[in-house]
Amino acid sequence: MERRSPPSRRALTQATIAWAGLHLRRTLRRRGALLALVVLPIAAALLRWVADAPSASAARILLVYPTPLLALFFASGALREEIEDRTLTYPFTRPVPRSWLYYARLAAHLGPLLLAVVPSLALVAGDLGELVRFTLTAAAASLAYGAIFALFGALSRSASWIGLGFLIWEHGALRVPGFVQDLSLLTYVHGLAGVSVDIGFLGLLGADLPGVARALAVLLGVAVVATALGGRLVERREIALER
Amino acid sequence: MTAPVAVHGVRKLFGQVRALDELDLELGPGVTGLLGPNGSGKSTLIKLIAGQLRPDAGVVRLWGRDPFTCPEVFADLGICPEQDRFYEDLRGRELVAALTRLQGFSAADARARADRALERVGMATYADKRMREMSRGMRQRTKFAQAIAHDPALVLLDEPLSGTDPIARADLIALIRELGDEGRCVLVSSHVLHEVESMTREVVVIRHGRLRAQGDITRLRTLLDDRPYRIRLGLTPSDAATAPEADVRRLAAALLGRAQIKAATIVDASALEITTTDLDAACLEIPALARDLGIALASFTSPDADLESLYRYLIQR
Repeated sequence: MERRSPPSRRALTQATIAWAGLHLRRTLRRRGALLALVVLPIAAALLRWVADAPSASAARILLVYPTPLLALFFASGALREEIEDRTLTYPFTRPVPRSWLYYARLAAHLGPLLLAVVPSLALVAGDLGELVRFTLTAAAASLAYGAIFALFGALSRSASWIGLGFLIWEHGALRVPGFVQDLSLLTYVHGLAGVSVDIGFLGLLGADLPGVARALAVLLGVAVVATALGGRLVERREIALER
Repeated sequence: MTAPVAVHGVRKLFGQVRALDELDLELGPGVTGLLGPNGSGKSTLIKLIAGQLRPDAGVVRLWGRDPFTCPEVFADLGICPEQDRFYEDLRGRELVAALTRLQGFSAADARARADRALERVGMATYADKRMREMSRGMRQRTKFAQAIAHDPALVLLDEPLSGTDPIARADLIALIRELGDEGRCVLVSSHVLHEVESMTREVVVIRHGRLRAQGDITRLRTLLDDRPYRIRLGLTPSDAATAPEADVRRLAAALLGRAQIKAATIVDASALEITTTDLDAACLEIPALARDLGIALASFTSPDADLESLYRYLIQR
């Protein structure tokens, strides 16, 4: 029997994009995604206009709590879901590199996160400058946290617990001034958004926060490195074996 | 020409358990049945061939390339995995088209191929049901469709008939034979022996992760010359004057004079069971001998020449 010639890179790229689109539609149809898409903007609007919170405070709350939590909810399942459902054999026996399929799943899971977080942050902005800053921060934070939690999902079946532990560390480190604070992504989120760190009864901390360029570089750098690590891991590990 | 599937010296460990041990295997075009009891390593072998696992020792090659590191070979591979798991919210047609699209076809081409494959497995009418709404048989057929929609030269089928009703089973067996006749290399894992026998004469038997036998069922059986065949002969009385048991006795006595006949047992008044080391010679000589003695044979069967007896023998050995 005649063998098929291998598909071109272009055809495989298009196929991967279509695969990401299919999973984005699937993710958006889920109750959790729909809830996030509705509840988060409503919460943002309530904070801004009903509770009359200053834009910086409202943005800080949205960036520090729901954004990383939603990233954990959506992104940790990017690959983990396929592993648990044992559906990975179907895409992983196609001529598309496995890392591409991982990126496609990650993109599909980051979609609803961005759709929920970015408009919510845009809603609390007080002026055009804040609008740009907040939406940029929301996008960068979603990408960084999403990539990290997706990597946890590729690494371990306890991705949610590991992710929660990571978030506790994030909040703890944020409240310790000095180099420890620099180890928390939330520091860069605050720096990029231009909002002070709320350290409870000790008040607000803002003097040592990183500038916009450094904060953006760190968040995007983390997103790129975590995504690349996830892709490499998927290429090299016998992931389909796990149950 | 490079064999579609070549497995050499493969060992696969899961912790302390050796799932496969020093396995050597080459598969060419046509249908090959992969047989072995539960836990013998059948699914592990299929996962290794499909690049889902990496061997701890030895090599697995598809057309000379490592399936774990070269996804390009999957352009010519179709797999029907053992697990009954799907993207449950998708419709059958949508699922098959999406997976066919991942083979690098355009959206329209993938849809057309998905429709053809679904038609071929008898799912055209039900293809718009969601996977979670389908019966086990429909799911199995859909799983089959996604494995063949892109016309692969190599098809791996892990227990493809499980959960199917008798009609679906007959249809899928016919389809598997058809795929083999088209020149594809088809590896079918099953523990339902008569189903494998109805698909192919070519089998691979593994046990405890080791290859026990590979080849044509009849040829394998002849190689096992340390275990003779049984042949059961049914007689019809040659004339009303002779008692049927007399014919049975006469034939038994005549047969015992032949070198290759090791034993003859009278089962009842019209049946005789003999044991021989040379099935081919017995097939030629016994009918001729019966004719010379004026005895009519009503039946001539060998319960040991079928796959089940071969399998039982290889597994218990």
